[in-house]
Amino acid sequence: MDFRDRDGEPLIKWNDPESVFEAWKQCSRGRPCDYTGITYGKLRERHAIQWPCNEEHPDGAERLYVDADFNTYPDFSETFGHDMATGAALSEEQYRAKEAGGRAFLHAIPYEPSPEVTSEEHPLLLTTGRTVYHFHTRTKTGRAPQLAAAAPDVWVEIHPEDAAGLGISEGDRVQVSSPRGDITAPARISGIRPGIVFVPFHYGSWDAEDATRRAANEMTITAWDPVSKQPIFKVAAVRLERVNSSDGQPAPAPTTTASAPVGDGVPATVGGQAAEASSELGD
Amino acid sequence: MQLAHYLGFAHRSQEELGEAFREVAQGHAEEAAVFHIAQRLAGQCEEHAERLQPFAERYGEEAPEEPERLHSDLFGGTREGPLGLLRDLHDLYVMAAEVDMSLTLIAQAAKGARDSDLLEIVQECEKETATQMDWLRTQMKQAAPQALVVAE
Repeated sequence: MDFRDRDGEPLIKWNDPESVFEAWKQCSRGRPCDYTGITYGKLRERHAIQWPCNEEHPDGAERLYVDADFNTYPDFSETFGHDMATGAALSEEQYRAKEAGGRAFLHAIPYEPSPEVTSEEHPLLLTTGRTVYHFHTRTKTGRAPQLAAAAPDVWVEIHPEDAAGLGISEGDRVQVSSPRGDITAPARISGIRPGIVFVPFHYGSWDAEDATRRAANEMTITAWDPVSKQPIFKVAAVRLERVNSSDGQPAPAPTTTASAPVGDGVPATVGGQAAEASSELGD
Repeated sequence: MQLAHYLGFAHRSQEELGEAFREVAQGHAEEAAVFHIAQRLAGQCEEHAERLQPFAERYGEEAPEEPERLHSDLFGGTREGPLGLLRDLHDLYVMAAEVDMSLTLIAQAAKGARDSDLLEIVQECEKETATQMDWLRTQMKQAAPQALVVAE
């Protein structure tokens, strides 16, 4: 589009990763994370540099807030803060009245239970999360055969006592239902805490025929932390029902990490030849 | 002493604000932040009303008949859509301001009557009411551009 600056020069002056970095780092100038002093050259030499890295700290700074001097000065701090329980924004006047003067705030609020707790109808707590083999919805990792093979499909982790009470064995197909939705997934009897079940959130619709069959977020609550806006994906009340047997087929969960089975007889997750790689440095 | 009338007024205002918070939460349940926080604040209002109740009763024994109608109706049910949400929050703000001022006046009276128990409770309630007003202001400021400029 040939954007130009006021001197008639091209507005966009970058054309490779290094020149993009040079332009982008200017956005940090004068701010707490100022890293205008970092260059590709310095990174090659030192490998890791901690901000702030600028004229004052040419080699970066290992420790922030030395002498317990924090970024709480009203003219420099990036926000006037929020009430932790509601997210209500504090005004500049309210913030200045605290006269922090470089001292840090420690915010505390009274205990509040989660927006959803267990009940007779939904007696277990569902927590959702990751497996080490995948990133988010697997749009990249699901296409790497070695990673896809290590964790090919969704599962639900259950403590042996909870599983025994419900007549569930390794690999059995189990329906997991919350007040909002349900999925059906093979059970992995794991070392998870009693009363808690875990479903990885990586598996959704882009490479599955039935979009709602396996997506963990069908069951999670629509709510978020009022200040950080972090969604509450770690607590939902659910109940489990065994659907059918797997005829000895274990859950497609990795036998490494937290999803390791407590029982024997599950083939180990191994990379094999396809996962081997080597690289050489130098000429 | 007329303090009982103001305590009764504050008590009723707190109860009504709690009910209104709950109604707005239900009426705008699709707004997840409003749904959860407004319910929490409704609980706070109900707790305030409970804590004021014994004082209203105690001072009520030495109060004359209520001289005039102190109560005012500020909330007539939830509305729909982005503009409706904004107006509902605005109503809650006015109701919270009424609560806030009655608590301030009761605190003054509690100092005059040397009632340190009442003063302590009122000051704790005042703090939470102030946060409720801050939250309502924050929500309204966030909702205003969408409701007033973008929405049809």
